[in-house]
Amino acid sequence: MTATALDAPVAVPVKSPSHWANVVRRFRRDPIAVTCLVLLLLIIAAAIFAPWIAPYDPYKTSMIRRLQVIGAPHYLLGTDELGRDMLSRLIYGGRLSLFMGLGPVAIALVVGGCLGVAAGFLGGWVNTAIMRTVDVFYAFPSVLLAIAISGALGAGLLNSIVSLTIVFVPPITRVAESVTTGVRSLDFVDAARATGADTFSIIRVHVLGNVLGPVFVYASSLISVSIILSSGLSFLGLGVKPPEPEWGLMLNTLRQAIWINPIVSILPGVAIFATSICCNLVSDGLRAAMDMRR
Amino acid sequence: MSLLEVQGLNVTFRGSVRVVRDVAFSLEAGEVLVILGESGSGKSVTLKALMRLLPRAKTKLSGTVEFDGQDLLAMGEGDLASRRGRDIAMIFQEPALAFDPVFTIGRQIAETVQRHEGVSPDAAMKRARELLDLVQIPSAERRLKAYPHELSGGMRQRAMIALALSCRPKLLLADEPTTALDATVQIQILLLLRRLQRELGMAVILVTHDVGVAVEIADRIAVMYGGRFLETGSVRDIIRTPMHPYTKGLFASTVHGAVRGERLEAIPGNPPNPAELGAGCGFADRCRLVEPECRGTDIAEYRPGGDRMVRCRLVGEPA
Amino acid sequence: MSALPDTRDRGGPNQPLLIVTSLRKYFPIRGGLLNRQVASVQAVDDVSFSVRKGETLGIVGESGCGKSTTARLLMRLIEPDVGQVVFDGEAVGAQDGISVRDLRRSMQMVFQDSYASLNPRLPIESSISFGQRFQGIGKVEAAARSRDLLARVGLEPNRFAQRYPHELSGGQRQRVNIARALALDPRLLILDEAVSALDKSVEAQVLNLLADLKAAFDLTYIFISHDLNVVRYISDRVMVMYLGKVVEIGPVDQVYANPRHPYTSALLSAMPSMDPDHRTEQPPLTGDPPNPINPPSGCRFRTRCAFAEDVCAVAPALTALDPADEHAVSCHRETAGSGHSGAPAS
Repeated sequence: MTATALDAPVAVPVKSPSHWANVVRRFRRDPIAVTCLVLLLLIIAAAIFAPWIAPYDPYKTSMIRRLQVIGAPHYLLGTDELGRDMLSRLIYGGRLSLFMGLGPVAIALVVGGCLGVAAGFLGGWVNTAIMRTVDVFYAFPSVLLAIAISGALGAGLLNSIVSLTIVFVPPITRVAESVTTGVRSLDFVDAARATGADTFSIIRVHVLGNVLGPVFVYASSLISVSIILSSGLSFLGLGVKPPEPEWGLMLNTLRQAIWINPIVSILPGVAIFATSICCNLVSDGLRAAMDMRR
Repeated sequence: MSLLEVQGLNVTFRGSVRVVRDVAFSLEAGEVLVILGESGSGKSVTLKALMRLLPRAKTKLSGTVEFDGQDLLAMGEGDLASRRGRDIAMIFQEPALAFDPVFTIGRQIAETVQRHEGVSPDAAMKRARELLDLVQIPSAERRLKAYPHELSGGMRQRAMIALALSCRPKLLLADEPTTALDATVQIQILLLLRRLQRELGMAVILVTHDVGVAVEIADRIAVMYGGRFLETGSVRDIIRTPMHPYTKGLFASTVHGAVRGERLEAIPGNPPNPAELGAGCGFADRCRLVEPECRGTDIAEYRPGGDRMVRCRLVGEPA
Repeated sequence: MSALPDTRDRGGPNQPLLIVTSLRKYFPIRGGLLNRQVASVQAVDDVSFSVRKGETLGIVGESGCGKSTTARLLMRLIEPDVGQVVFDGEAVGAQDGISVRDLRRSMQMVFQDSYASLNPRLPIESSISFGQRFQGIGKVEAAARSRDLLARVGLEPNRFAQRYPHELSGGQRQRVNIARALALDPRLLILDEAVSALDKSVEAQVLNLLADLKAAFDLTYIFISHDLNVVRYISDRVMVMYLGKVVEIGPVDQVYANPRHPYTSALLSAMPSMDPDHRTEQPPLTGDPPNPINPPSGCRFRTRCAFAEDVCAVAPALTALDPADEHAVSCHRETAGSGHSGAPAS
């Protein structure tokens, strides 16, 4: 074969950016996604550093200063129905709300991911067993399922997390199974099988890298759902108990105050909304960043 | 006056990537032109540009495409839409793309006839039936009620041709119509196209990468590479006496007629990426006869006589 | 490497490298509520052939003929329903024969889709090294071998080893696939439409490369393609398949010059003419290749055959035209004493 200038020897090895490096680069070019990511990180940082940031003790009540308006002296966002500072409650509330939002999704990602990849790669009766079980759970609307399981287990933080995890495992399993089945049928998996590699190594090296991306993006879109559902559970009294600051619970206890001080009453809802939107837009940005390749 | 007269056709993607560069040719009524090229040569884009089927937002077209005296590139959308399907029709590589999977074949063909010729639904269906017979689909009556997925690959391709011919177009554009077909089906479709073209007096521009397909159906061949026409001429001239180094290299490297055990004379390197091509001859990087003057300035057309054209400095001085 | 006797050779030069007997694979089609089997795709039916050491056997046929399934059955990527494969004298999967795992050292495959054959997340060198690690080759040695193979297939290691598949052209990717297939030092390489998706100018380069590698590494090839020209150029013998059956097999020049099965003649005449003054006038066959689900009984070609007679309702066997000949055909018209009006006298 005649060599051309294109095949001339090169002294230093050429190294190309890996797939994830490309994803990060493309993500950075998306202004909306980056803005939302920054906002999300600020919200998370505020939650983590609550004791240093919050101006007041979130549990300290004061009957005289109930339901102050926004911009009241000393109380930037007003006070709630028991006189507690809204700003501090919101900041501390972020801790529980975010924990209940991210926790179940993270656990479900691991559990659902494993089940889905196993079902997709092994096929046969393993696939049938896993997927039909998942289908049973899928038959229930997520909100009802969450309420039913929470109701059965009882109220409380840990029980809510268990309940939400159970709600999220089936959809993540489904997505993981479908992506894995798609990857499994590609020739490079057959080529790997043809070299005599064992199943686990093939999954680890060839399948996971191609499956994790789409599954992760899907799971990230569930974070906002999780925040809303957990807030809903707290609202219904199935999640966290008062006097814990948690956005959903705060919405519940401020319900009656909506006629007296509407703006302060909906502030927890605004927090839920803002966090959810940011999660969704970051998830979208991630999907778009991963999408450009064939 | 020629049926189709293309001058200075340029297609640019995303502002800077020139995928079609200064393409010019003319086509007489009833003539078959085959654009022969490999991947990345710009042949499919050229075809789609003629009917303005490229996405408007990302594509910039310039030049003139005079069809029957009117410039298609300058026309309004409404006028263009009335010409598409009626005077100019197109068939594709993948017949599944031409048909809507939820309607029957008969219904879709009849719909086209109705829209362009304004006849009654019954008359249109009758015409659809005639068309299916024309493209030699057996049991045409039954097939009218079939859905696209119920037909085999070859049948779908014939149905797509029937759809394209439904309004008796003067010009048929064909984008690799036989590439996805098996050998025994491919030859059937090629012969069908040839017969229909003769019977209906239709002009055809067919795009392909397969030299055999070009030989079977072309009156004239245009060899395309890196967005440019490198050589044009009658099918006999091009096949018997290729003049451009690329065309010669292409024919020399072909497996047909090669002797087993002897090396093929391969063209080194890879087909170019349009984004990376600058001025000068696009084939320079792979040409055995390349000289420094071949790069840098675009090569002008050289016409040695007859209707031949070659874009190569080494073949002759520009006319 | 080719000058020394091949130390991997166990059976000697007269032992065929591969003997395939009565290979069969039907794929069940499931339907209905309980996913019962309602029909089957008879992809490969009673396929037998052998491959000599150092030769190139071409397999040709159209879609649905079973050539790709046959390749996957040989590689044991799919399990055959029935049939036996003997590699260099040892039965595959048998107690005293060769295990599937060891078979994989000796037999590798290059697929058609050069992009889908490579993990898009791995750099080229890792893709080539992956298989080696499972055959006991250490990490450093595997990397060195991968780089060496890249150079052998014409890709400069420093330039290509750390790149990703999407950065390469189709021809370059196919070279990588060939390098990957050679990484385990196989003796038999199955090329399943390996050049079909490439541009013609690149196809010639890869064919030259395959010829060089065959000589350098003492390889045997099975070359599957729908392109008859390429098969004629590269093969010593050719096998023609139709709807899961072998219809003709023999030395390539003989089969091409003197095809005996009506399908083979049709396939050869279907190649487009290269002479503008002598174009094809009539298509050799009408209609599409039928579906391998519920194929015709008896001779599967009889529904499209110009010479079909009543006797063709019985499936013909693959018989040699002449005992000394390597040319065999599965057709009543060519078999003496079959009852077909065109059959030669016994």
